[in-house]
Amino acid sequence: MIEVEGLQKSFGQVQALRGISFRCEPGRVTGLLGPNGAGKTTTIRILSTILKPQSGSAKLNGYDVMKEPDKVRASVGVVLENSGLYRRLTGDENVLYFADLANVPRAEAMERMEFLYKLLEIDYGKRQAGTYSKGMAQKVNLVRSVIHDPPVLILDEPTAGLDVPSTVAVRTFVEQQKGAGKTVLLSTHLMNEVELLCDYVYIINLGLIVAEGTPDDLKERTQSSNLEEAFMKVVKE
Amino acid sequence: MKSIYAVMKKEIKEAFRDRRTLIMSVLLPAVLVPAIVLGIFYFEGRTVEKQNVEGFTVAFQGSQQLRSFLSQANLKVMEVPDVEKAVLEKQADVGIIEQQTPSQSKVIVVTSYASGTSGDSAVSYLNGILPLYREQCIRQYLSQKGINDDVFSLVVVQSKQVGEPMAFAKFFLAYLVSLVMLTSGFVGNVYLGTDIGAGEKERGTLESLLTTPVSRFSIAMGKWLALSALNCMGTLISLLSFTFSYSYAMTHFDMGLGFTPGGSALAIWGAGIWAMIIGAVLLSLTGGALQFIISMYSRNMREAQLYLGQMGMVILPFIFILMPAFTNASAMPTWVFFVPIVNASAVTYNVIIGNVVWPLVGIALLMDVAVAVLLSFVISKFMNRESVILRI
Repeated sequence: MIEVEGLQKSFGQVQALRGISFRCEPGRVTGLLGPNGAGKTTTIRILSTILKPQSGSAKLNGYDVMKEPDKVRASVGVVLENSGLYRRLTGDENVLYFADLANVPRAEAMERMEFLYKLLEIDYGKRQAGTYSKGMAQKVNLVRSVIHDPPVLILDEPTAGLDVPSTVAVRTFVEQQKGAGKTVLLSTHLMNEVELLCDYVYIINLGLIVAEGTPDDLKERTQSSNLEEAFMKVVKE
Repeated sequence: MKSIYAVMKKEIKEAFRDRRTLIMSVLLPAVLVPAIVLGIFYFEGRTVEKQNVEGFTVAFQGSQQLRSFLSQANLKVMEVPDVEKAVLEKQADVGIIEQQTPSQSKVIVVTSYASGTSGDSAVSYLNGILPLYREQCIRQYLSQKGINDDVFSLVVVQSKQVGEPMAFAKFFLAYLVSLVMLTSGFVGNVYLGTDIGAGEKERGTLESLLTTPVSRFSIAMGKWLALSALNCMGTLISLLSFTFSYSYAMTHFDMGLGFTPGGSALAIWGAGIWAMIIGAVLLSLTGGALQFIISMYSRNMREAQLYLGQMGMVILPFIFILMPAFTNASAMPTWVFFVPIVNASAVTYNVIIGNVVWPLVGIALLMDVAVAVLLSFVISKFMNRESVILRI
């Protein structure tokens, strides 16, 4: 569960978030949509405790991001846009490094890594990450972020720049996480991905939540034939 | 502690898989340092040997008497029409022109190349033997005049050296070890320093790391300790390869300075080695902290390299602090032990010259440990600043 209430954040004169509130339920994929500079990445950075908000509150799995950041991080797996792997370590070593940091016993980590490798069709874990294509790296990145089996998953543009097979693998992974009862927050620009994966959507613009609902609700309310059209109408209002 | 160790282990593993790090931290100190030391000693030894065996070459214009005198003094005399030209063209180490004045006296002009070491050595040698020639001429003159030459016995000058004959070699070694320790330990491996902070930012791995359950303090400590350990390893390899090559050079190349082969160099073993290790650890911790802070603050690797490349300049004042003790062939003054960074080198210097004052060693250790604790505090504060970690 993610509960955000009145979150505000400024960088100097720029007000990135102007009091946003939203909720993400377990066993559901919640989409966070918005144009560039809307405040999506800032929200995700606050939820993953990289940034601190000026006001408002955010709770992940019941833990407050300001008061219990260590517990928040133990409860969340984060895949950030542009997050890379350690190029001189193998895929396995990248994953097991994060398992060590999350204090996961080695045997448990190995077992979980094998399971996730099968799910994402990864058979190159023994190779150094520097030799991976973008899609290969992103799949290992997903495994790395959930190696400690967190109840909450935050994904920022997880399929950006990936080829079709990798995109399908990532979507399968998200579906699997949802099926396992995890809370999934997905930030993306790809509307077809939202329609395929998201159960509920929040549209953010200029640091404010400007619309929310299921993809079908949003289309109906804006009298749009597809989500892209609905998104454009909401953002231009 | 477990998470600090995990971060540290990963950083060291990555460093050992990087060819540039291995070249800078292992290969260069292990190969380049001995090559430089042995090269310098070998060529200096060859020069001295050449001088001892072959003697200096003198471009000469003058009397047969002076010519014979110079030949007997193991100098190669070469009569030339233009002495200055011969010296300028390096056909001779030094030039001598002997002129007879109308008043029957002689003037000897010694010419040497303005910036040549063999010329300087030759002039020193001539300054030692030409007074004997002058004496020979005066005796000759007195004899012709029927005057007894006992006058030369009125004042007899004798020279005598006191103190340890090996002292110079010992002070030289102590000073060089201190400098190697200071430069290698404090400045460290710039590439490693760049990679550990700015490199993480550039590759986009830092933010992922910050989302793991481990605290920022543990991340910072793990990275700092890994950087310090790797810098320390490079420093110790430099120091040991320097000491080994110095020992070898002292044993095998006679520089004509009257050293007992090997003796002075071997004085470093035992306490000297421990002083080197402790000094290298303390300097690497201090230098590593500064490297880490600079690297983490930098937007990218290029900016970090620009800043870290200047760390060599930071140690220049410290080198000047060490210099007077060496030039005066004395122990380090007490106040130096209160100055962090340089005091680690000062302890090693004093240990090698055999002047260990334990209270001063204690003061140096306390000062450096205090600085390390302070820096760890600064590092952890630094890692919590959004303006630093998101400065990309």
